[in-house]
Amino acid sequence: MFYMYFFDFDSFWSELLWIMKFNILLSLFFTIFAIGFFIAIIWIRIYKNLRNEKKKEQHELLIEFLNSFLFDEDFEKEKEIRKFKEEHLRSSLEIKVTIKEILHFHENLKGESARELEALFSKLGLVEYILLDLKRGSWYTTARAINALSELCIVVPDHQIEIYLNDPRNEVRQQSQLYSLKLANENPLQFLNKTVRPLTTWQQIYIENALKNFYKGPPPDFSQWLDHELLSVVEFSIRMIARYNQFEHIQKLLPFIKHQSDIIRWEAINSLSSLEYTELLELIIPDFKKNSRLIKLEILEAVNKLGSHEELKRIGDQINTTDWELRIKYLNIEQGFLPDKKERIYSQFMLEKQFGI
Amino acid sequence: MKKILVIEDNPMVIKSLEFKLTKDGHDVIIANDGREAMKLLIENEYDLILTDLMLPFVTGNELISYIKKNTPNTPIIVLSTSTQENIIMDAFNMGVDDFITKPFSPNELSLRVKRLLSKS
Amino acid sequence: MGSILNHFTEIASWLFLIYGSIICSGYLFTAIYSLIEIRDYKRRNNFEDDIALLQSLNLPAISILAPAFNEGLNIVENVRSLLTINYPSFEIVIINDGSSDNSLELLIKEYDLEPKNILYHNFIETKEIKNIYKSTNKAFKNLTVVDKKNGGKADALNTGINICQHNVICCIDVDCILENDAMLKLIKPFLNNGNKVIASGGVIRVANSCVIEDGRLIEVKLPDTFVARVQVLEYFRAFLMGRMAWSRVDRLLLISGAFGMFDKQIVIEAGGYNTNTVGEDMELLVRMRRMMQERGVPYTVGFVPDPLCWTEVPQTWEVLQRQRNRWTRGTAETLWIHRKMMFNPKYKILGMLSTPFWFFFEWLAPLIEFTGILFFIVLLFMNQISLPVFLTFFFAVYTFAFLFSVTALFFEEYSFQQYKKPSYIFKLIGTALLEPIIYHPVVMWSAVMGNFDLLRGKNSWGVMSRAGLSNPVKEKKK
Repeated sequence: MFYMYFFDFDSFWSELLWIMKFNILLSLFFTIFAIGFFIAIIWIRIYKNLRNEKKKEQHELLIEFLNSFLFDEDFEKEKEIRKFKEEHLRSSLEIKVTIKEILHFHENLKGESARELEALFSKLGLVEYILLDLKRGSWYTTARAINALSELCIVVPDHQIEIYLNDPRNEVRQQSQLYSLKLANENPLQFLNKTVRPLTTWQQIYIENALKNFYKGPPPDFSQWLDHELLSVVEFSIRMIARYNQFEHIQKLLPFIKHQSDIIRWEAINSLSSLEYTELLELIIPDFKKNSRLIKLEILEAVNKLGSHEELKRIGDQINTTDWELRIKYLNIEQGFLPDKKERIYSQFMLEKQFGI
Repeated sequence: MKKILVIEDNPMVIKSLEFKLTKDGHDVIIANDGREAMKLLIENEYDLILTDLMLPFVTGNELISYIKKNTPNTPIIVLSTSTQENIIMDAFNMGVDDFITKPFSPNELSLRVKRLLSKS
Repeated sequence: MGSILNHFTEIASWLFLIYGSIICSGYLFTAIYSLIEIRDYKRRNNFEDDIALLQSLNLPAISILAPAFNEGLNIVENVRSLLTINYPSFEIVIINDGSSDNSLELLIKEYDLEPKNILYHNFIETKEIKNIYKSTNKAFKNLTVVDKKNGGKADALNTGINICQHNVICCIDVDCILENDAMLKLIKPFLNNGNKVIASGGVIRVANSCVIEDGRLIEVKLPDTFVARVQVLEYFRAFLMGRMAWSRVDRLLLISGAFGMFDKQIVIEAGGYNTNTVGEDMELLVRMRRMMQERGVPYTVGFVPDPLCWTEVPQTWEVLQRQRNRWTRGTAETLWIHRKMMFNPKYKILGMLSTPFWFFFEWLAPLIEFTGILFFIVLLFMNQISLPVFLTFFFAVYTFAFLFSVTALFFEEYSFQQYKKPSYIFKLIGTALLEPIIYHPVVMWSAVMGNFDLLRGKNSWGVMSRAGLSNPVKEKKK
């Protein structure tokens, strides 16, 4: 019987048109793939579910453990740590969740509690695990490892991280920058001297944050990077001079209000005005007209911060009547200077708009 | 025992605050989001309110403005990630008593809570 | 005579086959590209410390623009949930586009609004503005409500652009449900890029049947209706497979009107939203790209695959047909307006790949398919069809369509896994099996009708009547 069937199939197949064979083969091919994907979906689902279940367990355990560790004076630290290490740090998943949770706690806490978490991290033997990750070689494990090291201020021999400062991957670069910043005792931005790739705004945000919240030493002299060859580093340094109130560098900033790049010029005007350098207005008002709109808006903002209605009026004639964005900015500032004339300025503007006076 | 309402949406922060403030001998009530907080505020009065600014459903600012309108003497501490001057100033202008930024030091927070409670 | 006809049918059949194979391999390529991009995206973003971002003074302030037309049902909750977005500095501009219901009164009452004299200029011409409202309550100081004469969605957005304060704008549908960190995620491409970033777009997800409370997503559920459920699959395919791949080569042509972020200055310079097309979202991005390309300035459009925005999709066949009809017209109009770009090497990949892809595979595909079916029927009547050949061919196409959906489903499982209940998987597989037979013909027919309507000169929006997002809490209140 079986033979008969097979025989039939062969002749059936050979009698088919080639196009039908082709179609049938394609269908089979697609179906097999679809079933394959379907199995993969189910497998991922089961795998993820089990994993999430375990994660949740470990997570709840950790919240209890970490809170007792940090805030309960009666908690027998040494004993409990040993116990936790033996019982709950066996699989790599448990280790991963623990690392993540300690990092999460650390991110939200500072002061003594943060120090205690750092000590706990090494007592649990998690540093070795991070170092393994660092050596694993793919860019994302490297970045993740450096991130953990710097978050928890774990010192590893310098050369291990320094090689990543100019890594082609943005993320690796950023993490190694933050690492050398957070672990520095002085001159935290030394890495800028070695940086050859532009800093994105994103990176600048994280560097500034780390400077404020992690770095404990004396603030660096930001003027040392004002002649850096990367404009983004110059931009960053100008801004930091203002954020750190380094009034002593005001003179060094002055040339930058005439810089050819608008971004630098904008940053210089913005920084000088937040340093409340009132002489700034004399330098920028006469040249108002020569600037691009971006800079003009910033000059108006500086007048708003440092000047008076008198100074504002000096700009008034320099604004083109059809440059609405500037005019509205101008009038808004004027309204701020002359609160009692607010409504008059508004109705005059509306009249002008309607009738083109 | 003083009643403290903690309004916060980060579970880790909630747990830590609950743990620490309970250890300090306070009665801690938790609201996980703005809507829950609003309900608790309508039902009850508290000796101190600790709130985040960015909350689901109802913003911290709206809660503060509600508290100041109905129980103006209840001290409010804001616990927020914001460090921006204008946000902090807005909060003080609305009448909050203290502003603590995250990351925070639990010991420092516990002291500030004690100080405000002894004042009122 | 007979042999000429035979030749013709043979040539035609081959053409259809070649076209089909090209489309299929196109899909295959985008799938592979998407997989790489999703993996990369996840790796890039697996350690994120939002605190640093929220504290930064360097995050640009955002103006969120939300046009509202007769949204009285949910507008108060929707605005409240917009106010609670996680972002350090933003304003919300609600543009009441001449609603005939009581939306405006509801807003005025709930948020203590009063008219305010605000200086503005019409950088883009719009319909008349009746009033601009601000709140007297300090807690709502970043809320502005604009009341204007009705002019359609594009006009409302343009009004918002004229009035808003900040340089980065985010255009959303007022009824869409945003995740908490939607703005933080969407702004990232603007900050982390060497090039000028002109826009960034996000993924739209299907909100039908999800549990929503006060404008927030509480639980993701699979839609109850078949029509909406197919669209879950469709959105997986479009966003996780299609747009993800285009974003890898940075040649995305469409940012959904329901959720996109733009550089305001560039939008104004490009002329704002076009009020004469029903595809204003696609048309704007194409125009912005074209402008940048003509200026020769290097630029980027970002794309964020995380599920950040949930919106209600059509639940009934009728509304679905109107929507697809409109999409077809929007695509056709956009391609027509920018026909100069097509196959123009001056526009590089945009001219040589993106626009032709849209022309051949998005606009033309339903027409070719329709012609193919007509051709098939003619041959059937002339007794030129061999049933076995047809059946095998049909089966091959069908299995491919199914495979494609299953792949998209796999991508979702691998990346975000939003539909957590086990039974959902089987329901989605079932939907994928039925889609090519039940759903696809309707969508194709709507596209054909869309082109037909376009030729007749119809350009109104199909009215989308909303079922209202399921809202258990509110139902209890009633």
